[in-house]
This record gives sequence, structure tokens and C-alpha cells, in this order.
Amino acid sequence: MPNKLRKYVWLKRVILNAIVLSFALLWGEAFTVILLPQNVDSKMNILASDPVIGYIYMPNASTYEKGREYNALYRINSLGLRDREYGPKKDGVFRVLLLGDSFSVSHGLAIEDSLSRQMERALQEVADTQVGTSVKFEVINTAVGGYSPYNYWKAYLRWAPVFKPDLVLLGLSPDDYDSSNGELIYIIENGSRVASFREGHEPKKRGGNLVRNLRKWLSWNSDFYILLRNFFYYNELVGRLSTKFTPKSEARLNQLQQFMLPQPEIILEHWAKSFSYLEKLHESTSADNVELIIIPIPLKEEIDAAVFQRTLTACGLKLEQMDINQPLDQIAAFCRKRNIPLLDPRPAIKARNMEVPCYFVYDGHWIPEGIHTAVVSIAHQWSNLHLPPWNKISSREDAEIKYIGRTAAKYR
Amino acid sequence: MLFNSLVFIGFITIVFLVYPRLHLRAQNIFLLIASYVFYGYWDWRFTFLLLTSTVVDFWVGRQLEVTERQRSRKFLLLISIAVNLGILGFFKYFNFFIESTSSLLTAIGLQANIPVLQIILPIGISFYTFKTLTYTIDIYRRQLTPTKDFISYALFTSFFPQILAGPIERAANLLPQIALPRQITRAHVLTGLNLIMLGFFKKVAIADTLAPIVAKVFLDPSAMTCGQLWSGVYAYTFQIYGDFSGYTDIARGLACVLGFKSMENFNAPYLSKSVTEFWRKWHISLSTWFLDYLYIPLGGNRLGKVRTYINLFITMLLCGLWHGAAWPFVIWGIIHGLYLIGHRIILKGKKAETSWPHTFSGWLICIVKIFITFHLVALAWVLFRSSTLDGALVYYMGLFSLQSLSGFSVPVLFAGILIITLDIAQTWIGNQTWIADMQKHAILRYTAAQFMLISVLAATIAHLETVTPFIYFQF
Repeated sequence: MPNKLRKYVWLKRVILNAIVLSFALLWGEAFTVILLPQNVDSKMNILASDPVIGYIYMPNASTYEKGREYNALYRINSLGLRDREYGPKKDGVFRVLLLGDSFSVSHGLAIEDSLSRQMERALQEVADTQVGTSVKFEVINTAVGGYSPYNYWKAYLRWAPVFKPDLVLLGLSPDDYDSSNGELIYIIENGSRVASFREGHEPKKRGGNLVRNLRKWLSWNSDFYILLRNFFYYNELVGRLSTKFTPKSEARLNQLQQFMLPQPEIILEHWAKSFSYLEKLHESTSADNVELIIIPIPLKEEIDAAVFQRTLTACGLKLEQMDINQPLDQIAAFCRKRNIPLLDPRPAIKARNMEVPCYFVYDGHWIPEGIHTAVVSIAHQWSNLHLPPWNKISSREDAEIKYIGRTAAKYR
Repeated sequence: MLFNSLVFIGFITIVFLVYPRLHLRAQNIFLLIASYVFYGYWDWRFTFLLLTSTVVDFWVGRQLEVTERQRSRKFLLLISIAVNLGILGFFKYFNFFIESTSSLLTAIGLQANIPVLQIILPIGISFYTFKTLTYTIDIYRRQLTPTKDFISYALFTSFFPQILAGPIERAANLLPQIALPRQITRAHVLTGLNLIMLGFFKKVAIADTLAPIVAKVFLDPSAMTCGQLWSGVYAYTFQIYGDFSGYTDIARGLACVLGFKSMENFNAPYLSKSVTEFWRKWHISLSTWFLDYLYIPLGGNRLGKVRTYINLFITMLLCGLWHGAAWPFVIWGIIHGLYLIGHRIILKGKKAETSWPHTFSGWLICIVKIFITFHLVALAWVLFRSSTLDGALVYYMGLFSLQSLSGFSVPVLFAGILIITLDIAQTWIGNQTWIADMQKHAILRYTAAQFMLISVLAATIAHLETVTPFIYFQF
């Protein structure tokens, strides 16, 4: 055979192989969809622009948040909150406005298992056991996944006039820091946040990377891809191996920066910005004569030493380079300075997590058991510290307000 | 050791690497050691049972060769049968008979507190017991010359691809292959790999995928809708076929790569046009064992109609009992016995049609027959899967209540289509290993192989945390 033709035979083989492989992949998809259905990632395109906060959930939207370990219904009320409908406040009702991010909105969980509902039940239970109280709690969930202190402050300004809360509860995660100050503008397209930027700056649009976009598209649409992805990332053995050989990604490293000793300058700057928003939030609540309580929501790494060690190993870092309590100390120092009560559920969750899991296995968020443990602990701390409404039930002077956390003089 | 486990991958890698580099004698010794390691991996103590059975039958075989007196030969055969069936009876049936006797005595008003024993059924015992019996019985019948080499005989009884769930290979087929040098050609390897791939497809992609559906429906049939119950019947029908024939294919494929030719155990059984034909195509090594060593010695069909029916009934009853020491298995056997008797009555002495029709109307009739046979077999599987007769009864009542057909499972239908398509291809092409053996349609075969591999990959990953043992291991 002449050399020229031989070249074509080779090409023909490549094309045939590509065609067969494509069909095989399509077959793999069909086979998985029918016989081994997976929870493909949810698009959750239910965001809508909001003139005050930037974005909220789309009013009256309904969708499922799907992932490997969850398939949770998100039903948004007419105001754009993942909650029930609320009318005007009735007599005897103590309204708590819950601000927060994905932990507070209860990522991957049914609404009945969410932080707001469980908090409401836990507070009610504590109140009901006390003689002579007839207070009825309403915990309104204004949290939205992706919110940060800037949004918390804005969310208060947005929702406080609507609900007239008696107290504001802020679920603050140690990775909840803002990288920008000034008014943020969000671009919401087709229910999804595509860019955020400060006034006078160019919008930083997400996306653009073909491989990343393809992977994202596959994670939304392909059961077969999800099956393989979960295997290569989350399988006990293969996952560990692939983590070892995966380049230490910036995203992974970013997760740990707040724990690093010394804390990187950039993170200190971010915290400073975040605390400036939290100060504004506190000023706003104080102006309205509304008490603000902060719950430092623990990340899985802060609860489970093995998980923390795994993340460290994946990033090539050592335990000696870290202080797991550092972000909590920073939050505690801020609270102490502003005289904001801080109710820490960590000890309770840590103890419970030794017996039963409190977090998803693969996802970093907490599960109903974790929330339950947290709310029971918080509700008891709340009543023991005679925070509203218990300050009216018994004298606040009797109680000694204790702030948790170690002395963190350097942050004062 | 399970074929679908990580440890087996390590085991078979060592076997495939070492085995071809040895000469015949060393190959046999190596395979014997590997077989005992394979069997003893589950529980090493049961290797002594296997060894006992092997030693006794080897000795009986040798004695039968030199003994001419008929009474002595009969006595020797009885020793072999007593030892083998004694071990099997003790481990498999002792508690069943004790419990059944207790229940019977209680039913007639007598107090019976006969203690049952805490014994575990040694895996594969029913298979290797029947296998070794073929050896002594065939020698007794002077159809087989006993081997003088203990290693060869020990390898015959313990040959690892077949020891756990068959095929129940005949000594006349396997022993000569052990004694003679084996050729391992590229064709052997390809055919073997084709069988292994096919087996894993049936086991992992079909049977293991259907297993959760079956488990859910059979756990509490009273809570299921009629549609779910029918789904459960079909799912188990395909699961047990995929599971058992998958195991057989892997076993035959492994043997093929090692240079052995094993007997076929399944031949598209769900395309049978009658239950009689079904038993010629389902678990062939067992059905022919019962034919050769029970039905024909009982008189077969030579002693008149009634005696034929009785023989069929006894054979199928014992076939049911072979599968498990529980009443649902016995009733399952009886039902199949009645099916076979019914078919004989319908045939009125004519031979059952086994060839494929040539006319359109012939095809229509053929499809109806296949449909009816499939459903007769499928309905009987309910007994096979139910742990109690009461459970089976509840299942049947739900099935025929026809109250709500909601909840019928599409995946079951899809899995069924896949496995039946394989059977149709096998029947049409006339070769189970057509992907490796056919000369034509390279692209089609290549695509089919890719499809199978990708399905096995997906199913393996999906079932990684739950390795499902083969159903027939319990027998």
C-alpha cells in the first residue's frame, strides 16, 4: 500500500475509534440514567436581583437542590425567602431574623430540617418548659447561599422593616469574609449570579474556561459523569489517591488560609472588611433597639480532626502551621469588643460527632443531626444568658454574660 | 473468595502470571494449591471436608477398578454415596429435618424439643458433592477408568473456577483435560476473556443492579402495589439468571484462559417454548446430572406413563431439595415437576418442538409459547426467593389482586431487554462468544464489547460499596 494511503488507514481507524467511543459513552449515559441513576448537581437557577441586598431567591420559585448526598426541595415564598409565608406580627410572638449563608439556609436539607425551623422548635421547647411563659417563637430564614457580611448587613436593612424582628441571629462561618468594601453590584442572569463588582469597577464575570464549563455542564446533565466524578473524588481509596496526585489547587488552599499561622495579610484584610460590615450591622440593629446574637458556625474541619488532617495533607501543609481556633478567636474578639453575645455550638457538635455524623460525608455542610445538636446547645445558652426574650422572663442582671473563646489580645 | 472482589483480582493475576510458565505436573500442583487457597479463603476449616470427600472417592475409585465382585463394587459405591451424601445431609439438611419433624410432632399434639445445631453450610458443598459422585458412579458403571494420580483427582474436585457454583463438570470431561498437556492459544485467551466480560456484564451490570429492587419488594410484599410485585417477579427472574449464568460464564472463561474446556450450563433458557425445553437450557450440568443419575436409574420414561410422571415428580422434588433445605424450595421443585408432567400430558407422546419456525403464524405461536413458559418459570421463582411459604403466599395474593399496577419499574424492563437480547444474539449466531470468535462485523463486535465494558465499569463503580455474593453460593 502506498504511504499516502497508509496514512488514511490510520486516520480511518482513529475516526472509527472515536465514533465507537462516542457511542459507548452515550450508551454509558443511557445505562446509568436508567439502571444506576445518580443525583446530578442542581443548577439552582432561582436567584433574582434585589435593589438592597444585590440578590435574593426568586419569589415563589421552586426547585430541587441535588447533590450526591441530598435532593432537597427549595420552595421560595412570595418575598423571596426559603421559608413559609408570614403575616403581620401577632401579640406574644417573638420574631427572630436569621441572617446567614448556605449553612443557615441549610444547604441540601429539607426545610423542616433547616436551621431556622430547628432553631424555632428548640427555642420553643426551652420556653415551654419554663413556668409562666407563653412566648411563641418565629425564626425567619433570610439566609441565602453565597452571602457574606456585606449581604448580612444589607439583608437586615432589607428585611427588618418588613418583619420588625425582636432579635437578629447571625450564622457566621469562619470562611465568611469579604474581599471587597464599598457597595457591591451583582449581575443576575437566568436565575444565576454571573458577576459581582464595586461601583466604578469592571464586572468580574465568572466562567470562560472551556474545560471548567464543560465539567460544570456535565455535572448538571450527565449521570455517568457524576458517577465517575464521585468515584474519582470521593471513593475512600481512589479519592485519596487522586487527591494526592491532583495539583494543590488554589481553591483548596484558600479554604485553609484563615487557619494559617501567621494568618496571611490578605485574610486579615478580608476580616477587617467583614468586621466593618458586621459593625454596620450591629449599629443598625442597635439603632432599632434589636439585640444581635452571633452563632459561629463551625466548618467540618473544625469539628473533625481527621477531616482537617486530610485537607492539610492534600495541600501539603502541617498541623504545626495551623491554629484551628484562629477564626473563632477573631470573631470572639470582635464580639467582645462590640458586646455582642456569641453562642458557640462547637463543644456540643464535637461531642455528638464522635457518636454520629453531624456533617455530610462528601459535602462540607451540616446535616439535620448537626443542626439539631447546635440548636439545642444554642437555645440553652440563650436562655441561660437571659438574652431576649428571657431577659423579660427573669432579671438579666442575675446572669453573667460569658463570651467564649480564648484571649486574643492581638486582635483587640 | 468472590469473583467480583478485589482480592480475587490479585489472586487471578498471580495465577495467570505463574501458571503458563510451568510444565504440566507443576501446573496441576499449582492449580491444586490455588484451588485450595481459593476455597479456604472463606473458611479454611472446610478444606478438610473437601479433602475427606476427595480421599474417599479417590480410594473408592481405585478399589472399584480392581474389584470384580458385584456385591463388593456395590458396597464400595455405597461407601462413596454415604460419605458424600452424609456430609451434605449433615451440613445442609440436618436442621431442616429436625425442624420439620418438630413441627410435625407439634402439629399432632406431641411436645418435641429436639435441639437444632449451630452449623454453617460449607460453600459449594452441593456442587462438589455431585461432581465427585459422578466419578465413582461412572466407574461403578464401567463408563470411566479411574485415575491413578491423586493430584489430578484432587484438582478435578477442587478446580477453583467451578468449585463454588459449578458447572457440575463430569469426571469424564475434566479428568482427561487435567491429565493431558493443555494448549493456551491467543484464541483461548480471547474466548475466555469474552466469557469473563459477558459474565461480569450479567452479574454486575444486570443482576447486582436489580438486587436492590428485588430485596425491597420481597422484604415486605404486603406493602407493595401489584405493579411493584410484578416488577419484583421480573426483576428476580432476570437477577437470578444474570447472577448464575454470569457466574458460570466467568468460571468457564477462567477455565478457558487456563486451557480447559468446561461444559455449557445455560443456553438462552428464557427463550424456551416449554418448561421441558427450559430444563434442557437452564443449569444444564445439574439437570443432566439428575437425568443421568436419578431419572434414568428410576426408570425414566421406559416404564409407562404413570411411572414416568412419578419419576419426573421425584426428580424435580429432589432437585428442589438440592437447592435448599427449606419448604419453599421443595414446593418450587414440586411445581416444576407438575409443569413437566403437564407438558407431557399436553404433548400426548409427541416430542417437544425445539427448532425455530419458518412461517409467520409459526412465529406467532412460538412467541406465545415463550411468553407462557417465561411466566410459568417466573412465577415459580417467587417461591425460590421467598424465605417462607407464608411470605410466598402473600406475594402471590398481591400479584393476582390486580388492584394497582402503579410502581412498575422501567429499569427492570430495560435490564430484561438487555439480557434477552444477549440470548437472542447467542441463539441467532449460534455461539455465545461471538464477540471474540466471529470473523465478520468487526465494528459491530468492537462496539458491543465497548458497550459491555462501559456498563460493567459503571455498575462496578456504583456497587463498589456493596459486593453482592452470587445467589447460587448458598446452595
